[in-house]
Amino acid sequence: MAEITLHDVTKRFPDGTLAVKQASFTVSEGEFFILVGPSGCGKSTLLNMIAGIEDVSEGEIRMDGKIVNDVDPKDRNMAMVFQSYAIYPHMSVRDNLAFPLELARLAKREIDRRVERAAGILQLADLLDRKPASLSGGERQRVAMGRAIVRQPAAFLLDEPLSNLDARLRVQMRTEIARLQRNLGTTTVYVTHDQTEAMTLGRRVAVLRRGEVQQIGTPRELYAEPRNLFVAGFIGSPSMNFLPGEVRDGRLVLPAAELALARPLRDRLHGRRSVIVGIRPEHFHDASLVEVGNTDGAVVEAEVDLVEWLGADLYVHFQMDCPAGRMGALPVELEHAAKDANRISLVARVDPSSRAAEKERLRLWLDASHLHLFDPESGENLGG
Amino acid sequence: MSARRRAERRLAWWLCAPAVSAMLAVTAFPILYAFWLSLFRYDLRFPAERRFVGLGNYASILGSEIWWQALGNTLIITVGSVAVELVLGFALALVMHRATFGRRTVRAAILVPYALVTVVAALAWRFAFDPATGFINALLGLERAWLTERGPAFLVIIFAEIWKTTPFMALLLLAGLTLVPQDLLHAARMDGASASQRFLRITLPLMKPAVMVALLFRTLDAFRVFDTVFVLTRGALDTETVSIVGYNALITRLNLGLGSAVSVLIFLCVLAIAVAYIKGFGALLTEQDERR
Amino acid sequence: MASGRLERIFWGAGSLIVVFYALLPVAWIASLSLKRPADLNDNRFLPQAVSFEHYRAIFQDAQFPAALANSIGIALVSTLLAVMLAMFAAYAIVRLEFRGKGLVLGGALAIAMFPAISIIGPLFNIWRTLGLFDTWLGLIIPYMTFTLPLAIWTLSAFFREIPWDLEKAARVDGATPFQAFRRVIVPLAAPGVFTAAILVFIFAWNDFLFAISLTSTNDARTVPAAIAFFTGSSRYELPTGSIAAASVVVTVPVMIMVLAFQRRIVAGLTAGAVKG
Repeated sequence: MAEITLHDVTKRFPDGTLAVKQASFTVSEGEFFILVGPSGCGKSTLLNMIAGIEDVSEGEIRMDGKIVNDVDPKDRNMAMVFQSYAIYPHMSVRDNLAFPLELARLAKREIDRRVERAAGILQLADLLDRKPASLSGGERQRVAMGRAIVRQPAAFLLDEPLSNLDARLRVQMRTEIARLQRNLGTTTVYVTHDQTEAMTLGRRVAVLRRGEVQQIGTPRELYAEPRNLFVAGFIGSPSMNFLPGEVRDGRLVLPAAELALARPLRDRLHGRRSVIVGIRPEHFHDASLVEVGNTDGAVVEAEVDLVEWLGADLYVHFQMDCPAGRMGALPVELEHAAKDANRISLVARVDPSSRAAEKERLRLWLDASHLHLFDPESGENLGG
Repeated sequence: MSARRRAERRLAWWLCAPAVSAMLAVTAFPILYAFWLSLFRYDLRFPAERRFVGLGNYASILGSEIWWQALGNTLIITVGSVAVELVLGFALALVMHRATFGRRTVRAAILVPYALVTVVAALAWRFAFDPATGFINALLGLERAWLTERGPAFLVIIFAEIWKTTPFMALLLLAGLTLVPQDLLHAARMDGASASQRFLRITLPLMKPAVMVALLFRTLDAFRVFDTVFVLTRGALDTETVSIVGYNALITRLNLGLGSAVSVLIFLCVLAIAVAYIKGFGALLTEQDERR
Repeated sequence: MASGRLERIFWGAGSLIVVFYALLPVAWIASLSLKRPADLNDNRFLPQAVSFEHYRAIFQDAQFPAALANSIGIALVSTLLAVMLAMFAAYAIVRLEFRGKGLVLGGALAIAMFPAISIIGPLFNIWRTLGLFDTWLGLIIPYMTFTLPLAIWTLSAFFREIPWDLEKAARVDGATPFQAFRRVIVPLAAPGVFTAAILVFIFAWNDFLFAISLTSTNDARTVPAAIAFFTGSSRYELPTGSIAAASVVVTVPVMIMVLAFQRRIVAGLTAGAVKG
């Protein structure tokens, strides 16, 4: 088991594009570490650099304290599972699993033993003599994982291994991978664009955007204490709602409501006049179902657009009126949430017994104890 | 079959008919005619003495030293050039695949031998190896008259053939090379394979179909060699190939009977080679199809 | 992919060697053609002094210009015919469903493997009887036949890449069938047709066997045949200079064409040969 440390790792491509900017973090021994972010954020490039398939432009990568920047991939004792699985089509499953061991010149008996063991763990025993072309997607994925396991490497690197599977299989394999990693205890770095996978699998998660690490933390930390607007909007599904807010006379003025601002929070604003307010869907409640007025909050009149009932959850997509000109406070990326210049679209997660119906008005209770305030320019979380 | 399918089929046949008839008319009919002619003793210089001899022409040819010598020569040239072409072609293909610098120049350069008129290329080499006008002797510090002895002449012929046809082989191999997914090579690298191991155990096996196709066409082309030999030696010095034998019999000596028999024999040889290869492919392809 | 400086230099050097390899004979024959007649035997690669004597000589002799005209004419006509026939066949193969598809493609394959030497005898005799011996048509016909396989494969490969639905979309947008064809399909098919034409032209331009078997005079003798039979001032000597000059003249135009369209040609060759 290895500890992997990255220090100011940067990747610059020949044409000048900066794919990764000064990434620094440490994956402890046996930890399940996730790199998550939208496409193009540099997570795969980062993984490739850890594997040694891509050169590091600047910075250091260390394994157990030793710098491995110039160590060839085949000497790093890491196993990688590719998004495309990359299993050898001209070899049987057994030969695929045995290949790395043959290259390492292990004794035939040892090779057979390890292959059988991996096949057992991943339920490939019946498929050992088949060729990859005759296997299903899920089976191929397991072969790719089997090939990684047989090597008993110091670290596993997985590059979006579940993206090519259908939804049901994906959920199933997700738990298998989690279980496998726990049993084997191998240090694992896992790349995905799916925040659900990141939240459920990782012990610690690093969120990347455009090559820069935004925040590293446990799923809980990322969810409850997002460091900036991007992380707040990326983590959590449906994503956090964002509204333009103004600070006037010590009060926070939202498009459809007004709230008192607590002293400590007001201080942290340092005199800012406009902020972006983030509210998670679950902090809107059906006003008819809660005791209004008990806690910090406000009543919001909403016009219901769309209702999604999922059995245990009820999502209400609604519109909030926004006075003219105030929408300008929202950064460009969030403007897609606005239907037109005067209304903002939001999502609330309410109790399934709510009577919310489309095209009707609904009274919602906004729980202000869970607000996040963000600086409109830097996106930084100011508190809340 | 629906009326629409029938109409489609009719249209398809109408569209293909001109091409198909052109191809058939100029090959199927003449080869049958050649077979017919081969059954006669027929010399155009003495047309009146034409008479039927059955398989007599074949007997004389197969009993003649010239034919077997020529067949041997042809096989030497075929095996020699194809073997070297394969290795050289691979090297060339790898260069084209990996070279980022001057890729366009290389690709253009590759086409020069292909587009160059074979006769011109052969003449260029002939002049190069000529002791009087050429630079090869000066370059190697030799005094040899290459095209006056059998051995050296063979070398020059094979050399000229290899020069001209390796680029095409390289192109075919390059196409096969690009079909090998990069991911597989990355995976092999992670699995611990060195560059040569990756080449031998991943790249080569996955290129087998492309290599087989390239080999088939190159072998058939090499067997049919004519232009280069004609220009370099005219077939003298025991360097005659089967095509030269045929040409001499038919056009130079106007012996249609004997010449046609040679033609048919050549046709049968080519057929045999093609069938052997396809049987070989067939075995290879069914092995691959099992995976499908 | 991790590639060091050294690796790049290695492959770069490889590229240079390839270029050198390819151009050596061409440079040599060009050099010969420019040498002064007296210098032809100086065993040097490059000419000591440049002279256009040989070029003058070949154009003064009636043989060469006639051969050049024959080559150009025959190659162009063969190309035109072969590409036209191949276009129809390729269209049928790619767009229509019919049982003979495999046969046509298989037949094309068989022609590509066919030994031309086997039919020069019969053709010689038949052409003599039909009066096609030593005529343009006498060469155009076999050229057409033997280039059809390559043309059909190349065009099929290119046609397969065309999104034919665009034609329907154009029709829905209001175009007549002919307009749709002319303004949507033709521009998409043009590169493929062009590439096939170049490949066919190179074959016809290059051919030697048919040229020397089925022609005998300036009426139809093409340049490869003419060069091989150039007579010199004495019966025992080859007119090296003239041959070199003629070679250059016959090479340069084709080379320019090839270099200008090299990307397309490579695509056509590999698509046609590998996928076929």
